[in-house]
Amino acid sequence: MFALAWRNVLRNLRRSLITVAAVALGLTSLVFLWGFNDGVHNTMMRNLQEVIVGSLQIHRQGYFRHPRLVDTLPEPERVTGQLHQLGVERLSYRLRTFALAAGADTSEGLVLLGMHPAMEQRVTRLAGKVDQGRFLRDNQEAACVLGKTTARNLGLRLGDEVVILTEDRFGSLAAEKLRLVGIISSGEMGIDRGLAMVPLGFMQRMLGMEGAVSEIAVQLTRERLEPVTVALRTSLDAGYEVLRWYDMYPMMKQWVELENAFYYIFLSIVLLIVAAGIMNTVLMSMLERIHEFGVMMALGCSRRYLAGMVLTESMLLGMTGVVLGTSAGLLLVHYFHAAGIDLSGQMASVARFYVNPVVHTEINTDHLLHTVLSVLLASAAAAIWPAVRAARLEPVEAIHHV
Amino acid sequence: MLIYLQLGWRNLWLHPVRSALTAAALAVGMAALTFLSAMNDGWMQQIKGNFALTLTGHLQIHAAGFEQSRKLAQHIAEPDAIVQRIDGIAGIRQLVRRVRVSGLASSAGSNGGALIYGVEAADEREISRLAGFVQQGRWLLPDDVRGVVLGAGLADRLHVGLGDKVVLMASVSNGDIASEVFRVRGLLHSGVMDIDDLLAIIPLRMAQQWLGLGDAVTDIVIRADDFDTVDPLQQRLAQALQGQGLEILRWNDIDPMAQQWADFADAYTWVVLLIVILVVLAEVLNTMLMSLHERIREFGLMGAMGVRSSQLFVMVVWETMLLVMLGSLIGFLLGGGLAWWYGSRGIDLSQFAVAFSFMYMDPVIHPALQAASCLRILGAALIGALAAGLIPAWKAARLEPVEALREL
Amino acid sequence: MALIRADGLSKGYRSGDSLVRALDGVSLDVPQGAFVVLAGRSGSGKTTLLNMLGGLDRPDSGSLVVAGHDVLRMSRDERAAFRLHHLGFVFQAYNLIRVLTARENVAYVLQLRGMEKRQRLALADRWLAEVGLQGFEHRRPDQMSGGQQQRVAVARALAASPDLVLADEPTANLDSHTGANLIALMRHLNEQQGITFVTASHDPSVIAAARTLVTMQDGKIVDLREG
Repeated sequence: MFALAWRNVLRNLRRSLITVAAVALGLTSLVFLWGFNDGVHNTMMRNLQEVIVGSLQIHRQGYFRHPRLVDTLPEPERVTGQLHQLGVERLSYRLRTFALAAGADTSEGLVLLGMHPAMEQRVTRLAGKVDQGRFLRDNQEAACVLGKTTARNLGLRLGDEVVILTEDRFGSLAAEKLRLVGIISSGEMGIDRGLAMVPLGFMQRMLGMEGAVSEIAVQLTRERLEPVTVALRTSLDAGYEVLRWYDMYPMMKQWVELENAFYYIFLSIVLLIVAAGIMNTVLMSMLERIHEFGVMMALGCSRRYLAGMVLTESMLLGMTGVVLGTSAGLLLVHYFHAAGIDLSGQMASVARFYVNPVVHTEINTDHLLHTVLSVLLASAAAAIWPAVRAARLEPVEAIHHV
Repeated sequence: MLIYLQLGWRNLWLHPVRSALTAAALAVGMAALTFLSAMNDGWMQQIKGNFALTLTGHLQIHAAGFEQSRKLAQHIAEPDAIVQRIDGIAGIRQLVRRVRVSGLASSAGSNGGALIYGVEAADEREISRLAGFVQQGRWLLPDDVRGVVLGAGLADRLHVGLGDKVVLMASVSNGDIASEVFRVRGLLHSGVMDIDDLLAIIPLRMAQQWLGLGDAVTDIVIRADDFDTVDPLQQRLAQALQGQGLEILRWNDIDPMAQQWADFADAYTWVVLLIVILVVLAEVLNTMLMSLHERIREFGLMGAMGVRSSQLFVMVVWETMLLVMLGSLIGFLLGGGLAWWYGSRGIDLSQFAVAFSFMYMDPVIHPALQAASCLRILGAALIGALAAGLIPAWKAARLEPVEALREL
Repeated sequence: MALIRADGLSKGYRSGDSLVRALDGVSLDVPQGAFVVLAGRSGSGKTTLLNMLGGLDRPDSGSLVVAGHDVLRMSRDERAAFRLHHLGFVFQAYNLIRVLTARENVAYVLQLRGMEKRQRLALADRWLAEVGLQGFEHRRPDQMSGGQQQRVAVARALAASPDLVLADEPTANLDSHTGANLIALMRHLNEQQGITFVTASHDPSVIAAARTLVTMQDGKIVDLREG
């Protein structure tokens, strides 16, 4: 049956080719658009996690919604011990509050983030984003790293003094002079503007909070995120909150879901069109061969066999299209994964969504699988009606059909 | 020409199922494109509108360089003179003065970065939607002195409610730090993170006194009649204010995000349009080639009768156009109808609310088809139809009657 | 002066390895008002000659003048216009455009010639009546018998009052009675209205009706008999 179906597909080669081309074209574009889509989304989510937020943060219960300096993390060593037991090494201690940073003649309210220089570099890529100067080095030094927008707004250059004004643990004003040792240019608005990074040890001393941390940021691979979260939530008591990146910033995850939802709509539209195309071809080829079908039935072919043959033809068309389309699409995705698509001219502002203006395409396996399977399903569905019609033919009438 | 339309129409009926399938595929594609475009258009209107009307206004006048530096030292010293100068320029629906400075807000035990806006309580209602977002307490009154309206997120972080005290700190013109105590009068919830988490709104006079600005302001914010009049208005303002050391910025200069987002969405729509049209046209091409193949003898016959090859060409193009236009029209009406239906009802996507509010969008989308989008879709369909018609038409025109007649 | 003056027409084409001479130096004069039948076995060159006379096919060598026009010097479009204005065709079968009614099929050629609508429909009806198809004006080809379809084809060929009607095996797909009727009709029109016919056929009833019988074999005219 397969060989026969294959020959029938080849019989009207041009028509089959056009049909296959339509399927392949649709699939190529679907795969490539997925590649673009997933490339943007995955980069966005990765950047958010790797640049500063981390995959997971552990705070005192309620801290994330109501961050107060005094609500520090209870027994950070115990948490660290648990994390080590789970095999997690990439973790960083941070102390967080708000401060006013003053330059020569202006000031800006910002987040003051104390981080342990060595630990931080194991968790995030902040150090790599330093554009001028260096990242924090010594845990005790009176140094600070600012985003480039803040530095510019404050009129500060590398080596200048910055005055940091904040309230200490008791609510009284604490002020320190720090040296600006590094300027970060990340493209992300939450970092380039409104953030001052200082050594954890120094900040603890400044605020009279030796040994205290507000958060532990943890970096995990995508596969490890959920199991580690579950493990931590069961092992840590109610005094802690274990938040994944998207618990803290649901916006991005929703955005990705929204765009994916749109994408699935688009997918189903293309599918409908492709299915109509396959159905057209299979139906035409079936109608052309009514006489032949009549002869085959007279020779003893069962109705089921005829229906199966029509179905096989349709699947052959679909599969050839799928193989070609997927290959072409994946090739494109692969090529642009390495080469990147430079959109920096068009969309300078995307950086605030943690998107790189150069998009490196990649495709999630489940998206690829859904797409390919649905095209195959569509080509099977398209054959149903022609197959039923073929099976319903009356041999005598069919033979007399010209 | 009419005979070819007639011939084309009847030829489509030779294989009603095939034609219907092709037309249906076209209709699905067109309906989807139309509806998606309408949704996109509705969205973009919303983003632009919300963006400009929430806070930014259509145009802002600052001392030159202020938007870059955000330094209080770069202020408009005599705003009244400026306002007088531009008074009567057509297209200004409303204008309002503001002082804008970045600072720190603190309460007992908590603090947070804040964007402090000094506003004219009454006039501000006419220009931005801020007053409308007050969900607890009230908007500032003209006689409020030490009242502050806080973004709900900021208030939450500071652990303060109505009537509580908040200390605002900012560095003043000469570089010193000034702080002042305010009492919370209202909390606003806009859904836009930048606003809810950062904004502290105080009376303009108070801001000027506290920051030692005298009568000076940082922003003169203008609301234009609509988005289309922004560019010409900017030019008129620039003319009127030449040589005053001012910058006149449009909403999209101040924050290019909304505009770039719109451009990006636009580009994406084009790509989707292109793909759908391509796939659909491959199908039209297939149908037309099948139809041509079946009728080769007929073409030969017509050639023998003295029909010129150019006439055959035109005939096939017409036939393709007919098929495409039929499918497109159905699809266009379907998609347009859907857009119209949902235009008044709205599509509720509240499950993505957070993502939307970040983009200054309401989670309820009202599709609104713009004329430009209609033209774009129909144009693409027509050009595509022509393109898909050319190949079979060319084949038909090239047929040698003698050979075509041999076909059965 | 002859309506058709063909001189030394030759045409060869490749069939596999060998060169087949479809026409081998055919010369033929056909006067105005003739009723010529080209007879011969299939493959003798009848159809090729007929197609050549109609400007559908080109010879490798030779010359051909039809109704005062040097057909071989014409471009594709000129030949199309020539056919439109001077020739009528009747083929073996499937002569009609499937989606047009009998009347529309006849009127179509007239429309191509730019005739105004009312006039061409009237003329079409008249010719359909002439070939005995009154009452069939609104039938489509698939609603008519083979003989009726051929009659429509004759009506169409004649409606534009051509100088010459070329018919290629017009009776081949008809039963003998219907075929005889068709050829009688053609002969009748030839005699009544002086229309020139050149018909290729190996149907005895057609051959019997010939006023000039041209017998062909292997691309040559082997016999020419005035009847």
